[in-house]
Amino acid sequence: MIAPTNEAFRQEVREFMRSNLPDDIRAKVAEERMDLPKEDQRRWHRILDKQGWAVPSWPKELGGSGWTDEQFYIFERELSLADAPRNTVYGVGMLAPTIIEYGTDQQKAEILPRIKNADDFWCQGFSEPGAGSDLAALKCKAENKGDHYLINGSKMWTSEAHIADRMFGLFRTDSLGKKQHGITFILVDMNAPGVEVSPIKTFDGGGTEINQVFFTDVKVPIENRVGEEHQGWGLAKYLLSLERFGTAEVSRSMRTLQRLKAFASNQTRGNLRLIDDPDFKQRLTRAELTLRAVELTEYRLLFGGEPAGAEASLLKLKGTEVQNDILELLHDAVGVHALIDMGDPEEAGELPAGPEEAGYAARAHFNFRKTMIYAGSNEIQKTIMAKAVLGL
Amino acid sequence: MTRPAPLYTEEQQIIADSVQRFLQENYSFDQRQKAITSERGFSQEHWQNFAELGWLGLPFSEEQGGFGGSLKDAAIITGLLGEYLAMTPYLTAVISAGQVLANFAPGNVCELVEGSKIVSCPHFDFENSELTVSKQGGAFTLSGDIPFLPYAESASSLVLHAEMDGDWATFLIPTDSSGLNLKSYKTYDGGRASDAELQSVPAQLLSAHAKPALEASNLATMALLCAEASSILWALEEQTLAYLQTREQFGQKLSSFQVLQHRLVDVYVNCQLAQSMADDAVEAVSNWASDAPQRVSAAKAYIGDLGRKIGQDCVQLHGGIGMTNDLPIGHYLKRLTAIDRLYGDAAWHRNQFAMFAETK
Repeated sequence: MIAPTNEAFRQEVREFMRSNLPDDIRAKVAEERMDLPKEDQRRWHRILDKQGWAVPSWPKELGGSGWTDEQFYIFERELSLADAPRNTVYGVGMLAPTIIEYGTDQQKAEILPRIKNADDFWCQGFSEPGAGSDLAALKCKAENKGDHYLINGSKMWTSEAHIADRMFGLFRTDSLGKKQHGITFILVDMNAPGVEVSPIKTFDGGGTEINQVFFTDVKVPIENRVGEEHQGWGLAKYLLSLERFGTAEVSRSMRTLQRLKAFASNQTRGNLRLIDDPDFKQRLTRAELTLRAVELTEYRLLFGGEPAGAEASLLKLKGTEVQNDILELLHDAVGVHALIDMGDPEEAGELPAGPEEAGYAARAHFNFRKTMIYAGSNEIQKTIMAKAVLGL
Repeated sequence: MTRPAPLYTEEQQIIADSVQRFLQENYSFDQRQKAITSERGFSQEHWQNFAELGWLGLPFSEEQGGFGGSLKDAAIITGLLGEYLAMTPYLTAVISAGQVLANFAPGNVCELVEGSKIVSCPHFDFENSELTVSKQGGAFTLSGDIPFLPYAESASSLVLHAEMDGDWATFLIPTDSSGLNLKSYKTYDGGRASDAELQSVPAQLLSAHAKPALEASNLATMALLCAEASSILWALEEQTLAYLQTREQFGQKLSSFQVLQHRLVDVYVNCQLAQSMADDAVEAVSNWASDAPQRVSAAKAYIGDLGRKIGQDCVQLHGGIGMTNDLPIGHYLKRLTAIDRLYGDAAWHRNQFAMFAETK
């Protein structure tokens, strides 16, 4: 297996990260934080935009980079290895391509430049209290009132709703017939009267990431619909199929593994370095080998010719499993100081004791359990593969 | 088909088709069961066929009488042999011993390629060899015990290694030498092997500085074992999937139960990961990449563990029928278990990998 060999490009990205990634942002990402405050995200996005790298996957005429698949692959790797935040996902990676494919000219003109300039932050309103893995069971209602939709109900697990300016969501416009029918893709202003965001605290003890969003008689102009009424399921499937790179989190896991190995080389257990402790070494090496197998598989599936079908499911499943193994090892490596509760990292003071890894290892270990649950739980991925690949 | 289509060159496709055709006709499971219980544990007639079909000469240069193929080409053969559970001296003769001969005694390769002579050599850990060398004038004799020489009773000569003058030397001895005693046995994967006792056996020195060549032959053998395991895993996956789609209990196909679907997906996913590792190992030895030792150890460690686990899972998914001797499933498990024992088990290779990873 030959990894992408565009060395000149790799060096260019590396050099850019070295010179342009602000230290405070780097430090936050290095503490395994996935969700950064809005102002940090905006600042980094605009730095990338100046370089022409903020919306690389878009068509070139809209500001895309025109990169080859290899370049995207390298870019994502180098971003992670430099502890840079990844490009904003909801606006840039999900909504924009959907608007480009299904939106009106007016929607394109209004929405895309504001994403590119980081004026608007978007969140994704898909899941509901009664519609998680069974997304098509969603009930949040949008009634067509002629010139507007009237929305009532709620959305659940909405990442970044507390910082988002707008939401793209799936709403029930018809409940007759198949449940996939009668779903409409609608854009909602988060400041509209009747929208209420209620943060959901997660047990990892960190800051807010997810929310429940309540809609009470929220009026949304009819022009905010994307695609045809009742046909939103097709758009959602399109949007969810877009992410080819990074679902396995290989790059992020590689960086975590580097951190873990560096740390374990400097710690002692009894009279051994932790990294030479037989049990620890076993676990570490197993995780490293699995990560390598996922990396090689990702590369083979993405660049190796024939599609295997459901590649994203396979990579998500194994990638998030090994990611969690590595973070659990980091937590274990820190020892007793991992127990220190630092609370919301945005408000945390000085670490009272222990190595600096004690400041985040437990939060990351507990928080990242979510990666095996969100974006289609790993069990859903298995069901997808059973159907799509094994034909069951 | 769940198995990814291999990315063969045109020539490789021809090789694969020809091997597949031959094995289909000559290595049905029943035929295989007969072959492993025959006197030598494999059919000499088939060995001649292998020679005529060019398989034996594939990874040797044309000057040596071979066909100038690569280890990647040989991996196609070992993969398919594995899938048909065809137990033969191929790996030991053509790769483990053959690649050493190609280095130091190219004149001996011809007989091997023609199928008239088979060569065996000991397990990979030559640095634990207990053989001692005596030198008298220009002549050498070897003494000591050597365990586990695959198919040695069918071999006309053995390639043996011993420490000499602070370096590793490799020798050739005919199997009819006086002072050589072979204790031969069957192995649980349907193979054959022998332990050798040598008492002052005259030996022909092939090289007094053999270490790099022995290491290269070891790596090639390890990588090809990985390729074999990867093929076996896909065969297991396909056969287990097919069985669960046929067998009915509680009035429905077993494959309709979600718990079994998810276990099949685990098998499938692990087959993909194992193949990535095996492909990478074969790629590494085909180009003799500088990081080949690490990449081969990564694959052998990973596949050693995973192969056994998948094999065990597939027996479990078959249920009672999976326990029977008349189905290949259990024999695949035995071969996968044997592959982990051969040329360094998962724990050994994990340590190797960790060592390389740390020094990098």
